[in-house]
Amino acid sequence: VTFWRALAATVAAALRDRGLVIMFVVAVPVYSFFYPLPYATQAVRHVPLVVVDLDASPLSRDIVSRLSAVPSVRIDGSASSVDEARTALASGQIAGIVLVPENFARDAARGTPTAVTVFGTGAYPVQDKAVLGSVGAVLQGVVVEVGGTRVAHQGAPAAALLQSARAGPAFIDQPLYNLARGYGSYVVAAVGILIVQQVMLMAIASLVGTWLERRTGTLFGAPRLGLSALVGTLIAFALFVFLALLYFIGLVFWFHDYPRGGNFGGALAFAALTALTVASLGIALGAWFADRERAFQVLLATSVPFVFMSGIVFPREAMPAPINALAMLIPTTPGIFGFVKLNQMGASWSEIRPEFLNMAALLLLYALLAGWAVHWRRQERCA
Amino acid sequence: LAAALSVAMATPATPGLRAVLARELHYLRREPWDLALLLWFPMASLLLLLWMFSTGIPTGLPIAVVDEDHSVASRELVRRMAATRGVAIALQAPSLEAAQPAVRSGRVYGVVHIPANWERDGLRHTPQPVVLYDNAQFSLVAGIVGGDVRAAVGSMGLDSALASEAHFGGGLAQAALRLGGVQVDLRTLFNPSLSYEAYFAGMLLPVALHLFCVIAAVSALGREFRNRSVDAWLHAAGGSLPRALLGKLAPLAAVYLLLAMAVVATFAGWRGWPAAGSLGLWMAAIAMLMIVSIAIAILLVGLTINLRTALSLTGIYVATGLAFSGFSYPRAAMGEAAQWWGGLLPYTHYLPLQQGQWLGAAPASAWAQGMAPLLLFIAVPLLVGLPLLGRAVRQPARWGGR
Repeated sequence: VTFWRALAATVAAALRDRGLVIMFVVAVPVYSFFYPLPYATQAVRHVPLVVVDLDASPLSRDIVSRLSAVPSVRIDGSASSVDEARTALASGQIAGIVLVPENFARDAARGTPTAVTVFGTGAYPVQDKAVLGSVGAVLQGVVVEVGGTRVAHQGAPAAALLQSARAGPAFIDQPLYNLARGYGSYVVAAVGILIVQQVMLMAIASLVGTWLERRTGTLFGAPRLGLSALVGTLIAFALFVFLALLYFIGLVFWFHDYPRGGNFGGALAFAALTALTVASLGIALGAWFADRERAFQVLLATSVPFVFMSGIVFPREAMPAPINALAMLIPTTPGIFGFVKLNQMGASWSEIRPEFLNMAALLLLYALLAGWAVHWRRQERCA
Repeated sequence: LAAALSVAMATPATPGLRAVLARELHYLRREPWDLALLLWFPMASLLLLLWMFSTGIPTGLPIAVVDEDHSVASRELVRRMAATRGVAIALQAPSLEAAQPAVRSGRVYGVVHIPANWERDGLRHTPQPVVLYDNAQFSLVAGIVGGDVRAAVGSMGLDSALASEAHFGGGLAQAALRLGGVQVDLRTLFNPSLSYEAYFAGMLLPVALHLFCVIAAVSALGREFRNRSVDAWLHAAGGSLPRALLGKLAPLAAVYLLLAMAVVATFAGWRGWPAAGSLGLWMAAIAMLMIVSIAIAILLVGLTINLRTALSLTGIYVATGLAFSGFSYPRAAMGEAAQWWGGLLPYTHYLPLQQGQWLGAAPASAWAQGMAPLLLFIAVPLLVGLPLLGRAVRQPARWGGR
């Protein structure tokens, strides 16, 4: 079988398998709309907050009205004590409590130490940081104003007050690449690559397993298997992976308006390399599993460990070294970093050198493994 | 386990519950892949996830510093940043342009820029800001780096404000009191140190177990249809489908209930986060999640009568469940469609039960309210799935679907 005939026969087999054509063609588009859904709003908004106002002064009411204007939270009623609200916080019904203590306005005017307290819940850290960050910033503003009013009453010169009121911030935290700190922009850019890998590994391994069960296909159908047929099959599978990757980094990122296109030429080249690696691994797994359904059973549960092992969520610096080493065997580990750097961060080819070398080594490893596994299965079953 | 297997194997195969059980155990002993999917694979994954987050809190995250001020104060700021727990200064670059490639190549997670004349302008009351450029594609890391750099800059500002206030007399203590006045106190209740081990491992282990349990149960049921072995399966049970299901799923339920208890014991015992609420209620909730997983598997196989399709649906319905559950991005912040879909997933309802009983000391009444929907995730799948399975086992023409 020649290269081109193997390529064409593999593409045809993938499209004709009524069960697997869904995986090869439909699954990635379906996931591309479904998976980003929770993150479509991009920024934490409307999380419920309870106010415990023990002061009931114009100042405390002013605080409540300012908080109700903060987009990330919504005032979800009030409570008469922290203990009462704490129960709702513990059971996850609310996201935070704002406590204005008794005599707050009086103490603030006198300069007696007092504090507005914001409670978040560490049971949901992302939400906790959003609540403490946004509510804290608003309250800090109130505190500065109150302090200014007090020193003005005490006779501080107006010019000095004006100067301090007009002074810019002492610190600016400026996000790079993901300029709006969009949560979806961060999660989906990474998980998109994982989705393509997982769906395609299942599809390819399942088709190769089916061929092996039935002794058909370009790999197990013919009495002889040449290198050109093996490479043709690999390229055909890689074509599906490549198109799925382009669909994600082109269409999906554009559709959801995520940061994209930083180094499109580089991303194209890296997509080709990644596609060949995933296709090789798919063939190797399929030949090993030798079963149509096994790939689904094995790979379904690997998605969550794989995305965390890539180091995009929890940093590599904090993970045990053996896990980081193990992670380098998974295409998504260099894949997610490589694509995020090329697409979102606009890295040059030399700046993704570690990811390129890792991926190239994996291609070599899995291509050899695929060739060996197919050869071994042919000798075992087709002889 | 080997002993249990051999005892069960020794049982003579007169039709009944024990015969189904013996048939199932015999199959698992003969098929190492299925045993691995049931037992070894989940156990290895749980250990891997546990190990992954065992450091708890990331430290020493590399950042770059561009100090264009070269003053005593700027060097002090650099020293204070280096002294924080979260960040480590990996690079001192002469300019922002020189630092950019280090960010793009992933060597550092951000660049702190201290502008020229920063100290002088601060003393003249026309302060210039210190700017942290952080890589927001790494959201969690950017949050840690941002917090620590902000704290270091803030401590410098506080010190200089204190020093200038002290000029008005009364020494530093009086100055601190005058400046103190009104404060904003930000506190995190429940897991106050924001340990990422409690956060990620605590949430991922139960969801991994839930997913593994659905996969194992779907596989156990689905393979009878795939292999066209429904007759032999029902025959072992004396023709009763409930008995056939019970015998087939009992070993699986035992394994996953044990693993679930092991997960609770790991966190509450070994890793040292005792339940702030009730350990028993937490255990009941996670046990319920395992039963829910089996009920969902019965529904998925009943709907499809096809192992591969049932597994694909498991991928859509269960494997993506984490994203919709509010474990990271809060549910209240999601759009309506995502909230609605999240409500149809059992893990979404399990999560607040666990966090409430484990970390939050939620009352039993809140637990009971949360358990009610989980019961629905058992009742509804069984009410729909069992009749579908009952019909399919009598229709040999539908068996063997791949």
